Amino acid sequence: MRRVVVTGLGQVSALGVGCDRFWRRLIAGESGLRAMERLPAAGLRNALAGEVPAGEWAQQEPSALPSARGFAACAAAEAAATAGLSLTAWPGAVVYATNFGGQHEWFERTPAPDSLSALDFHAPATAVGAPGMAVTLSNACSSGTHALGHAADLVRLGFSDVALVCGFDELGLFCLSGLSILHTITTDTIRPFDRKRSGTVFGEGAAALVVEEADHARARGAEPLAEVLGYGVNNNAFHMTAPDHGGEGMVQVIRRALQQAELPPDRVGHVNAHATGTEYHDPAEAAALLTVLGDHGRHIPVSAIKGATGHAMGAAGAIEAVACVLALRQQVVPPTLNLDEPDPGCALDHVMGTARDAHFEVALSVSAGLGGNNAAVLLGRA
Amino acid sequence: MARIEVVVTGLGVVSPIGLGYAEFAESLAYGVTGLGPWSGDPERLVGELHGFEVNDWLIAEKTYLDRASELALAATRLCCLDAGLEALPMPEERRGVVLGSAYGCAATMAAYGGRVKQRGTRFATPVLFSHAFANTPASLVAIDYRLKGYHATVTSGAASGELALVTAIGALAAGHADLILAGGVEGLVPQGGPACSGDPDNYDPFDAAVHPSGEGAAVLLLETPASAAAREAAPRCRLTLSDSAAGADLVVLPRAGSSLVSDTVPVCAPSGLYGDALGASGALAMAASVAAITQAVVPPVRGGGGALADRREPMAQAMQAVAVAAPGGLWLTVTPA
Repeated sequence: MRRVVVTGLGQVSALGVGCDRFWRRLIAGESGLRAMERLPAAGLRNALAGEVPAGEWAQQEPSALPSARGFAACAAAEAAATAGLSLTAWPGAVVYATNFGGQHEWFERTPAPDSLSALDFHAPATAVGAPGMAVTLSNACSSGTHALGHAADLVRLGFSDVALVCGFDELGLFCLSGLSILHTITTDTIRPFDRKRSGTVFGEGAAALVVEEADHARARGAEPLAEVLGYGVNNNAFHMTAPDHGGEGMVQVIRRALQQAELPPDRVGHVNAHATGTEYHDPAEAAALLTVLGDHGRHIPVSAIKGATGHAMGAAGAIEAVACVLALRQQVVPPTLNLDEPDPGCALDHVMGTARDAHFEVALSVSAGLGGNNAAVLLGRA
Repeated sequence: MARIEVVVTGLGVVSPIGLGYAEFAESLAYGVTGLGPWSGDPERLVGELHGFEVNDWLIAEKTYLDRASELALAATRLCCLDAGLEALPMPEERRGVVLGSAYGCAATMAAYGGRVKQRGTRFATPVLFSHAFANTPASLVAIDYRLKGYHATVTSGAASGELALVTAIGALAAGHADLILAGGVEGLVPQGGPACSGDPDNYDPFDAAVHPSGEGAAVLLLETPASAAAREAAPRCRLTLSDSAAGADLVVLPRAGSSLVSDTVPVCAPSGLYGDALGASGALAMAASVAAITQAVVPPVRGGGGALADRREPMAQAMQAVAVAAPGGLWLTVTPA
């Protein structure tokens, strides 16, 4: 079986533009959450969100307002550059991930007759400008993790020697109004795994990863940053919006990822949790981790980074995969912000307060989304 | 490049030329058109479903459904019936669903977004919001049919249907599932689509400047050969994903207006009978390919169909392979079981 490595990384999020800045701020325990500047908060449960910082974006892209199109293009360009490849002459497949696609753009432009084209979920991805086979996956907020796993499969199965993964989403009143009325959004702040958690805070951005067949990367002298070992994706097949309390769907995707990676559970050395800070999700995820990892799961560092980035929806899984790759390289795991008093129902080895040095070879990243979607991916140290 | 073979053990079609695979295949063979004036604007020529009642095809109660979800659930039910399955094979974790759609639940998105835009965020409606996601149709199919395994919604514009099939075949090859309900779905887009008019009998899918919109869904039950053999299911046909259409007796175009016309291999554009159903078109073309090979009939061709151009009558011909092009130089080729 062909091995798949990561050779390029790029990201745009509430923590800023570029992977270096992202990692520095993440490890320093800084948060990008603040009162929204671009969008009016009237009628929403919370003004707090993880907007891409306007000033930093203006510096990066002086001619373009912050948008899903811009975020995707910016992250993809950084990933391609670090991989030493050209986006305009992209040599392989592209797998995009989004939850809301161009809905914000459509919402702003409707009822203009030409606004309909923005409702094509693939529309923002066209800004990336990469030729070749492009698949856009939309499995709600698990899309980014699914896209990474799917891209690795395309390489593993021989469809492509190189593939670009790009998860993107943009904050807008279309999504925030719905997530607010569903009470997914907290009136406080996001507190992953905390006893006082009361909901999530949304964010935006994009993250891109270049995945590549290991020998192909070696032959062209590209540095492998991590290895994509396996993934799983599924559906709870239970309810559109109600949570799966037992976390059985998450149990199955983690098991499937381990099965594809041909790894025993005790090889997992770090978890980047989905941990949205909602009442029901976090204990279900903790239970799923302990079900699969057993007692070992209580002794490996678990980070939840949405207190820093916000929940970036279709981009979240890709952003968190970037965090896993950087954690594997640096052997440092980021802190879970706003976690002061862990819920006894979420009894894991939480990385509280500050980043922690860790020695591990395999990281697990978990995602979930509305409609009962789940995904998990395993990344290994290169 | 990998060459992956799976088997097709069921087919469900909801289209303007027939409800169910048998009706669809018969209309296709005889060139029966489903194009006509749109109920929302009689000046526009579209492929619209008439006489479709979603209640006939639901296996669980619903409070609300977008048009795309209705079509997906009906095509899934028809696929299970075609496969002779009242209950899908176990275990639930090894069966999945992959659906493609360009616009997803566009009508509900427009209804939800329009309400919020006009009246403000406090007037957001939870039920409309949760039914406006691109993945809503696939999630509803998973819920009703207990598909707890591999799951994907592909939203790659008009190529979503072909890419959904490619994604599902890849997932089967990678061992993520034993069987996957895979296909495409598209409702008529509420705000319009191209303004096509005229006589449906004179519409030439190879030559027209504007093509009529269509709606519909097609769902195929794809299985690994081992899965079908284990439950002693008789496949309708085999389906191969590869980078070549060598040996194909017929090429089926998912959409009109394609430049893919050959002087050596007959090319047909069945969407000339039911319109451009965008994200459903690739799966409908796949169903048309299965129909052609199993019925041994080359469907009628109107206009520039290459080697067999402008042939208005069906032609009996045994075929060994019928191919549909997918993005990235990939081909989905149907061969006899």
